[in-house]
Amino acid sequence: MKKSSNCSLWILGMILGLVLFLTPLIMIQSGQGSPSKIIQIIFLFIGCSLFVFSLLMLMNSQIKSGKGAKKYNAELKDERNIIIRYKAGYITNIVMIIFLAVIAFILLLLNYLMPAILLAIALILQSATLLFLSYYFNKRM
Amino acid sequence: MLNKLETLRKQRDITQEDLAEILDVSRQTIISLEKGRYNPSITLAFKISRYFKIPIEEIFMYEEEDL
Repeated sequence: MKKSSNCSLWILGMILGLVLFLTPLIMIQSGQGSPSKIIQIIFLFIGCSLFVFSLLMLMNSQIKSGKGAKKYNAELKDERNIIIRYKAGYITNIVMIIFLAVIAFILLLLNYLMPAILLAIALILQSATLLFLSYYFNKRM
Repeated sequence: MLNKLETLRKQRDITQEDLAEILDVSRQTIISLEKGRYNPSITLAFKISRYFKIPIEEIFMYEEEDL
């Protein structure tokens, strides 16, 4: 009973998210006057977040229940899978840093100074966090 | 690192799926262990050793190249 009500809640969340996401677009299409940019961004952001969050929670509740639960837990705790996840995460992180650095450089060449600076700050923060956490875990383990 | 896992498993007449369930790992991990592509953690090595009731060094053969 509880599981089914949880599923309904996440499905409702997905529908609400989709409605919020589509509302500014429908208003523009139907000629009811386009809402201001800030309202559009807020609606799109909240709608998108709500949809993705509800979808993930729904998938999670489906995976954790029923026959697949034991297998799912074994796969999740499997030491080889943990190492694979660490490796994949580490490589993805490095690739993303390089990719974002290239984008920052392109933005700089196109004279988009502010986005380039913000991206560079984010990259520096990411690298600093990586170094800090590596140092932290190095001392703890 | 070489190991006798496949031989021991076949001697006991159990499937990879069963062994995976007993050791609380995925079947893919058993496959990788048997093929020598993956070296287990010390915890998993102990679990394997206890299950087969054989010392670790008789199941896993350490080679200098592994360093």
